[in-house]
Amino acid sequence: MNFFKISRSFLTTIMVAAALSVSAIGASQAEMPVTEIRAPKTGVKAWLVTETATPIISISMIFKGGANLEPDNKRGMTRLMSYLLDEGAGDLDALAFQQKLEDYAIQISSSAQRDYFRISMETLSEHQDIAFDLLHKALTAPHFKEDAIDRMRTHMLVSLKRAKSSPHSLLDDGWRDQVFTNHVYQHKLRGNAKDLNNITTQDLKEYHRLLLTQKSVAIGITGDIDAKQAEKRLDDLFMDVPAKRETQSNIAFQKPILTPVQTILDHDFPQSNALFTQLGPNRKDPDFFPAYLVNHILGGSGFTSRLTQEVREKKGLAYSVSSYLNPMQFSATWQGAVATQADRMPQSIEIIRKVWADMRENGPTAAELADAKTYLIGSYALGFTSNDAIASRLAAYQYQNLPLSDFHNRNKFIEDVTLEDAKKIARKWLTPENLSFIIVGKDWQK
Amino acid sequence: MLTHLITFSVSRRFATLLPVISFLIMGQMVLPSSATAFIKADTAILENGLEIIVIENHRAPVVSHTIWYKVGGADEEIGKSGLAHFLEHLLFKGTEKRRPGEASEIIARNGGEENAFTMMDVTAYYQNIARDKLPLMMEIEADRMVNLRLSDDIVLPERDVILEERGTRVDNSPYALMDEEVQAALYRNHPYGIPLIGWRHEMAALTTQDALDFYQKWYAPNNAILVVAGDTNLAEVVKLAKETYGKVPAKTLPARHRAIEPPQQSERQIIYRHQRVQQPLFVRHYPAPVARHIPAKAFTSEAPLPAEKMALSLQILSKLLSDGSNSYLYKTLVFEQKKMTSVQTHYSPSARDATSFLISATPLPSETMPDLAALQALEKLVMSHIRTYLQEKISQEDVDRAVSQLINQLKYTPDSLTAGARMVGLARAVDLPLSAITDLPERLKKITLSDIKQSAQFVLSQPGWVSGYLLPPQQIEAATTEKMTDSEPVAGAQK
Repeated sequence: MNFFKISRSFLTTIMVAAALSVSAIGASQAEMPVTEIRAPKTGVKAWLVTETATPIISISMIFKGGANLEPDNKRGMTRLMSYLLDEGAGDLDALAFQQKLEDYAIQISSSAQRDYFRISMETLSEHQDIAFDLLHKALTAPHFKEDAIDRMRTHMLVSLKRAKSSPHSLLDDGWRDQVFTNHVYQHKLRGNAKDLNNITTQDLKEYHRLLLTQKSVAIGITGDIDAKQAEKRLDDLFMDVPAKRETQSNIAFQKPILTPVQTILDHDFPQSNALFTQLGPNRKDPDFFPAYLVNHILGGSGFTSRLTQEVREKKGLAYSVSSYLNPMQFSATWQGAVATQADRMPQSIEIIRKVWADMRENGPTAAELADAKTYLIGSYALGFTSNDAIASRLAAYQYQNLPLSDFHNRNKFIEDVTLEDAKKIARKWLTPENLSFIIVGKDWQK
Repeated sequence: MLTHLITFSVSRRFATLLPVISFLIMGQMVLPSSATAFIKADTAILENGLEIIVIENHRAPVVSHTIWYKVGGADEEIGKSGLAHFLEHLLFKGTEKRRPGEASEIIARNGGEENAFTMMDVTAYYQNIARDKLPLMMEIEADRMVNLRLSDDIVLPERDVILEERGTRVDNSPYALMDEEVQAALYRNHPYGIPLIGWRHEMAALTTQDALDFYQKWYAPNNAILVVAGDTNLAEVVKLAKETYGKVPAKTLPARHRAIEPPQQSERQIIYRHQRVQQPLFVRHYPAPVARHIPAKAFTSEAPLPAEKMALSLQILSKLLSDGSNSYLYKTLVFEQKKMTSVQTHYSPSARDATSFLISATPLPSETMPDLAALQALEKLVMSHIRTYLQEKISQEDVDRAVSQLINQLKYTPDSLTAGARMVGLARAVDLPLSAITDLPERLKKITLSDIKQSAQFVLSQPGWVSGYLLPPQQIEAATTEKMTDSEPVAGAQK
């Protein structure tokens, strides 16, 4: 039966997906007891929150440098590698490795992104010896056997096929082709069939050693473990991991390429999807927090943003419309998304530009700013209710090279933004005339 | 916005077949990826009939507040499909006391997150927020339980929103469109065969009065369950609930009449072709019983085991067949023999009236587009391996291992503010006893190899089932394959 549930909005999911940037954007409870630890033998550092209320340990590791470092004829290798870390490592073949994970309810997951590669592990503390041993094997001795590569490559080839008919994949591809032409960000994480078929065990082993190093990792640990124990675990985990990369990459910062005229990728979907983009501040820009607040008012999560009010609530033009800051390692955008029937897309675009222009001209009101602050400060605590959520935020801060004081002061940074700041950055940053729309759907001009 | 979600939500082996919507409730049910005995749930009932469940969790000074109404898509009248979900949207449109959107503004201003969701049997509204805001949340929720104000100027734009939502969830997705056809074939008499989001033409005709009628009929404290999880306790919740929900009078509720689905007698095939299908797949749904004990005989023939026992057995069976690399179907067909990209079974027992045991698989990618015959051959292969497993391979050791894994997973429940609350809320909302969740580890341990074999035998030998085949249009298929074989019958795959 179709016993699925449908909910009022996607916005909560968006928040989850944006977790890395949001958490880096955000900061934490000032009172959260974070310890900076350093493993004595390897010198690997981490931030630790010991929390014994639940018998669980979580570790989140973010390795700087993800798919950006893929060789040019091996596109898709980062994602392929993320699928293969638990497909046999050390003295365990694929099935034996997975059997241990399943029997002890240990979760090891990895995620391939452009700027980073993340590996997370969660275990009941009663099974931690086994869990850390499996993680060590995945970090130091994955097999990348030919049959496992074939199996996971097959999955990726299937998703390549599906992507050809998925509005969201087509839109993301089109967006990258336009906004990041000839930049490393133009490449697709899912790769292409030719490159995927060309990836060997040797390629993966070399790439694994390139990507995962002691110097490139940012680590958060939370749960039923103290500093001494955690430091010992880190030494054991990283003892056999390369200290640093032999070769340095040289990737230039690129501003998004924008066009004032919308681009329509003509496909016969009942509903059209659009992304709109302009330049945004990067994470370390002093304008970042004021922009974060202005964006929340403009198109942030919840049902109260101006875009949601104007496009969805008043006109019923779309089920979802939102905007967000997207600071990357080598670029930064301020962008948004909307989905609506093809013939109503022009109206949505017009309203979005108008809302954008009004925010630029007049900025937020004092009441909007005050409400945005109480929301962003109050709801922040909701992200600290599980071990792995805390661990991943701790890792994200270090990945961004932010000091622990920034983590503790996050709410203060929000609180300190004045109405004048907000108006100033709205005027400085928002460019409604140059908001660049790309649409996947029927061309209404035809 | 969705572009950026996809990489996070798709797990590579086992969840690639179906769109995310079908999976939203997986893992929250009687077999959650996290749960307990270990859930301690305290309960009370107010004089007006409101049931209260509290799950204490003192890790952070926050609470998750949910009100579940025992009404959903399957309670709509004929011709009004999508109404339950439409009303859920309209609950955010103001009351006598608050203008449209005002409650959302108050919640946001207080640092809360909120949302709502509709299912076939239930509709739920929730907020996650600092613990000291709990009285305010109860006041807002109690207010809209009884004081909703609706008029055309706010209802009609929202109707466009749900039509757009249908576009996003269904019309843009060939899989979702096929699923609508399959469900309609599976349930010929029961309203589970009608899409939860609604048929487009019926959605477009829903009125303000329809919404108000439905609201007045079903929204009442004696048709609701309040679940609060987090940094609070039963005494506090009961006190606060009395001051808010306690003032809403009980109603005389309509009987929940739903047409009963008769036992199914025939094999049916849905062949759904769509221009945008790049990767064909098949699904097969067998009628299956739910965990709730149902007096009237429906959908399947009479089951050989008590309902709850059979439900747990089928969930363990599904895990043994396709959950994880060491599951039988994955290991033999994907891992060892490399016959398909993925294979999946799914069974979710927490509906009120009926459910299905789902088997599906995706073929290997190839130069030539797989045709109907190829999908049917794949289906036959999967079915024969299920048979082999049940007759020759399944062992007591398998069962013990699966149960132990499930119990280990349940131990993660207290790490989440909402996981335990969702499980107990949904269980009670479909009239399962609370103990179905709180005693889950003990109940799982009692399931025997014989229970699983009997349950499997029962479900897989039902004389009626529905197979669905997702394919590209025939001319595309013809262009890339040698022959058309659509007229071939389904190869035997039974008993």
